[in-house]
Amino acid sequence: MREGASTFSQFKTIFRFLILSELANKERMLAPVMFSGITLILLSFGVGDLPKDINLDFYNTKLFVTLILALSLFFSRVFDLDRKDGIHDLMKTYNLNPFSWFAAKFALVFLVSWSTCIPTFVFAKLFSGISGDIFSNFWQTLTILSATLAGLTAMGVLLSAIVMNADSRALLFPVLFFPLSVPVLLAALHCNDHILQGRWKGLSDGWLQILLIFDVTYVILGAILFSETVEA
Amino acid sequence: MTLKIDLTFQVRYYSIDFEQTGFLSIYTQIGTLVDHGKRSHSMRPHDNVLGGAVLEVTNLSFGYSLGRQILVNINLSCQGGEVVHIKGSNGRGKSTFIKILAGLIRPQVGTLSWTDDQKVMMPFETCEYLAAEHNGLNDELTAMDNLRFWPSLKGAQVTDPLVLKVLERWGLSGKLIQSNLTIARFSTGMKRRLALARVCLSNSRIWLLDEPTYGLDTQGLSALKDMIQDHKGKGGLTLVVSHEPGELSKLFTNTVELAG
Repeated sequence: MREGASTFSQFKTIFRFLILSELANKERMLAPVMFSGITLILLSFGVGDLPKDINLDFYNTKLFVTLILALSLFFSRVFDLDRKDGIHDLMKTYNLNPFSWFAAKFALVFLVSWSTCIPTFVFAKLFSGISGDIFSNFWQTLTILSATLAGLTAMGVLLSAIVMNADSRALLFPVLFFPLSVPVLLAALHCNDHILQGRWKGLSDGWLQILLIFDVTYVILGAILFSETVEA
Repeated sequence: MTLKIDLTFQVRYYSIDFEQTGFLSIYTQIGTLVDHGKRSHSMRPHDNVLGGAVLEVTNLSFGYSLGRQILVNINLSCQGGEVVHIKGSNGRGKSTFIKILAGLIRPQVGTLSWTDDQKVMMPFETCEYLAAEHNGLNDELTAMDNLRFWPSLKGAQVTDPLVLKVLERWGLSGKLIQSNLTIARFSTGMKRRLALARVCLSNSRIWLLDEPTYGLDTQGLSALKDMIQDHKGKGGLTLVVSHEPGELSKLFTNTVELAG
């Protein structure tokens, strides 16, 4: 045996453990995808054909609203594993750097969120009736989605840790999560609207900055406050 | 005053004074930032002799509600090579006491210090804890995955042959492991054996075992006795909470009765 655990090696160990657990229970990943698929189909068939300019706005709105609802399902269960069989308590008795714990959770949720994000994006495009290549403005869209996911993931992990031991966590999580996700959601909506209308350069008008500011704020808040929540 | 004590600890030694509200939290944050990745003293290889671990508990009191103290003025002093039996009837605070020793609960009054080779430590630096009601196992993963995880968190590079050797000692090798069954398929006793195998692999100097015999059959009890005997022989300190210690009672060197 070689002794001595650095923050990075603890991060790797926890991340590997979390990935293995995630892959072992595919239901956790599939449930949000099913939710987004069904919601988008219902919205598309329920609303029917719309004029082109309204259709673009509707597509954008339903994409992000569905995405955030589907992701909230996933975020609210981020700490299900830790609550099993005293794993969380046992981790607290180890010499664990809270930052490596937060970083591992963040990395896992950010990665796995794409398994919801990509199908939601594809479903939304398929059922929107918008003409054009699905991969047009690929890099711009990828940037906005990454920034959106980063902010939401940091907030989702932190709030999930806060409500982990609450009896009414199923109610408490959405009550805290949705108001805090509004700035990110609004900024992402406006940024994507610019992209859809081919005005990528117009993003300097402030929405991209707002999105990035909230990303940074939420990630820093998550990293700082996570240690307080897990030690409580 | 707290800040002054903190700085002293960073330079010379650590101790926990639970009467200083919030001290543990402050220590944990500063200590984590300063010390992380630099420690190399928390564990030693299996074949080395453990030793020098000393636990001192002075006037420790704790109560979940203001009106009722379940632990009152507990004093305890023990060192490596001892097996301490903590006993008492239901609700006397045995599990609470061992959780305090593991660092999961803060006592309201009193002091607690762990020293290791004359260096004062935090509980998580030197202890391995086994809860009474939980095994700390992820039932969606295999036994190997679970046993690789915990030692790795402490920085130990656990090889598969070593894990298999420990599993074999606990009667969990063979087809069960080879077929990669998840823990969900294991019985209560097998899960307890795995949890004890985790303690065995950790190689910490101090073991805090809360009802370790729960769910174990005769062979499991025998393996547990051997495990504690080995640990004792290497100079490790074991604290055992148990209502029915059975054969284990032959190993006890000290008994603490919690009267409440």
